[in-house]
Amino acid sequence: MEVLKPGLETTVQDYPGRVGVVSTGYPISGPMDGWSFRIANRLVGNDVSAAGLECQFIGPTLRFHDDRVVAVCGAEMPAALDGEPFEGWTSVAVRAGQTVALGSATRGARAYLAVSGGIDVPPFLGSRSTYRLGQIGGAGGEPLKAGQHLPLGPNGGAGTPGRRAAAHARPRFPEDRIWSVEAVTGPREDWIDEAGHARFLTSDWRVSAHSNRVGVRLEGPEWTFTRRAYDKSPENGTHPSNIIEHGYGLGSINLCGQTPIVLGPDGLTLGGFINPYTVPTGSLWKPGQARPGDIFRFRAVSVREAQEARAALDALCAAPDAIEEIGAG
Amino acid sequence: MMRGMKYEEPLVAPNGDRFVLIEFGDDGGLRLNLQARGFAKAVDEARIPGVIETNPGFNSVLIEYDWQRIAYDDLVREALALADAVGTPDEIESRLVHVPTLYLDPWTRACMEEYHRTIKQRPYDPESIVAENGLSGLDELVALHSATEYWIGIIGAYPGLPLMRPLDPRCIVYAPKYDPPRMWTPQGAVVCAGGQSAIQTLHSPGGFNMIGRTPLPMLDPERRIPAFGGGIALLRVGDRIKFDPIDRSEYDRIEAKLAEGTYPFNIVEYQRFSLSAYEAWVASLDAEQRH
Repeated sequence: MEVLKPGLETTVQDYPGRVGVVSTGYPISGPMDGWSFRIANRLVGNDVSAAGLECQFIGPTLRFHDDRVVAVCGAEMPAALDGEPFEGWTSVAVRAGQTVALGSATRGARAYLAVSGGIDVPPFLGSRSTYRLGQIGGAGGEPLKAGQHLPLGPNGGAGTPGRRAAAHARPRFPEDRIWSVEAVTGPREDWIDEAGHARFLTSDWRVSAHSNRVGVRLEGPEWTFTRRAYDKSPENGTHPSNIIEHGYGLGSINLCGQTPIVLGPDGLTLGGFINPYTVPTGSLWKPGQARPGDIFRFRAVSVREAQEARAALDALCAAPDAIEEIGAG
Repeated sequence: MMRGMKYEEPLVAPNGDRFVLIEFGDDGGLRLNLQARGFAKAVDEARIPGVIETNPGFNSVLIEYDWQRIAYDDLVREALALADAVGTPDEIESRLVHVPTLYLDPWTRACMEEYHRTIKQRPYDPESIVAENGLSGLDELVALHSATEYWIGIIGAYPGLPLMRPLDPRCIVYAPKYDPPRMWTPQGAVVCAGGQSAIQTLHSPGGFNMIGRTPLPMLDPERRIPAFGGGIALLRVGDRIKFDPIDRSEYDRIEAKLAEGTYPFNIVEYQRFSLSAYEAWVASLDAEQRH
């Protein structure tokens, strides 16, 4: 597969990413919207973990050197095969020599392009996911560049064109760009006072343009703190949001001074700011698909509810009825 | 209040649906660091079904788990039992790694100048540290920063990045972090903030003050450098660091030797670190001499 146009920032990712190496300081990486990513792989007959492309805002143009099946899921991004538009969330046959071109996302932020056989770049620490800051994984540790050739895995006759994702297997992006986002309280909620918690749960949080795979920055009202945030040993740092360096879970809402950042798959593995809330795994696709200017409204859920939501999403992504034959539905 | 001490019971809190944070105390001392490190090791070695990995902080450990294989309450119970059993190790193996450093180097200065010009006005970092800490000048800053061994309490934030504290309390210098953080920092920058020091392993954003740069690589993703012992990062938690001041010509010589693969890394392997002996030494220091 040859890159004719790279798009804005197109990276190779696999699912779930680089697991089991966090103590080395390498983040998990992997797709920001693991839901759409897995469905795209299902459509082309791959294992859900197979490496595909994450296409941010503006997609790439690719020429194929052999026959493959592709699918584009996630953000709504116009797609064409040799200039002929084709629908997202469907599997499409591509013949040797043909070109797949993706345009600009009209809704959502990230489209996922899966190719039957997967993208066969060398894995690093068990994953093919690109970690751009660390210059590892993917195609030389970087987003795609024009003129690159990406190796594809053995096709093995896998991949059936003419399939589509069932309606219930596609994430819904809000028409009004106001997202309801689940948040688990903690781990350091005791540093935020009652008024601060009330503001977090009742305010509109605007997604900043300074958002990326490292984190999605939010703009909103001021945070206020309890005495615990001030009454601490000097090694914690002077600002009430400062704490002695500790591990950050994926999805933590990391309070950097007054700026909350939802930590993404390329985020810091640890640091010295508190995490008063956490976006749970089953909801991480939402910050992954949010565009600058979108609004987040947070809804507190329990650990148990969040665990069940993740299990339900995993089941949905694996369910036979997530994929149907076109014409059968 | 629990200020500046070890908690009677570790503080346990969920970090979303798949992580739990276990924190042993509120201070940045070595005792809690050794406890956290020993605990993370014990959890890893116990191979508890459903535990995916541990991520040690300075005085805490974040554990990732699969709730369908181990319930939150069961995980917490097993982890706390292990924490009790491990306690705080008194003596551990600790390598001493010499890090040649060009203090007040031109690359971090250029990076500061760019920040000053394009983001926010700011005095030259080493000068603001001198002022903040009442030092006589840049020479005293370099002498003070290079006079002590540093303890690597954590590796992380970025790949292989060591966060460390001076073992000699008389050598602590305080510096407030950048706000907003820098968009980039030269790889190899020696940085400090809030009494801690670090070495930047990547060309990455950063918030610590920059005071120098080492030519040594901190990361070797292709595992080609024998001194890394087959690992990706040069440094490990529990290593001690000594910054050896060098001049520009020495910096260039080391860089050339590294490029041809002939640089002799200076890593002292045979030493052990005793927490109780260290604490007794710190207690014996004249408080007046402390900075």
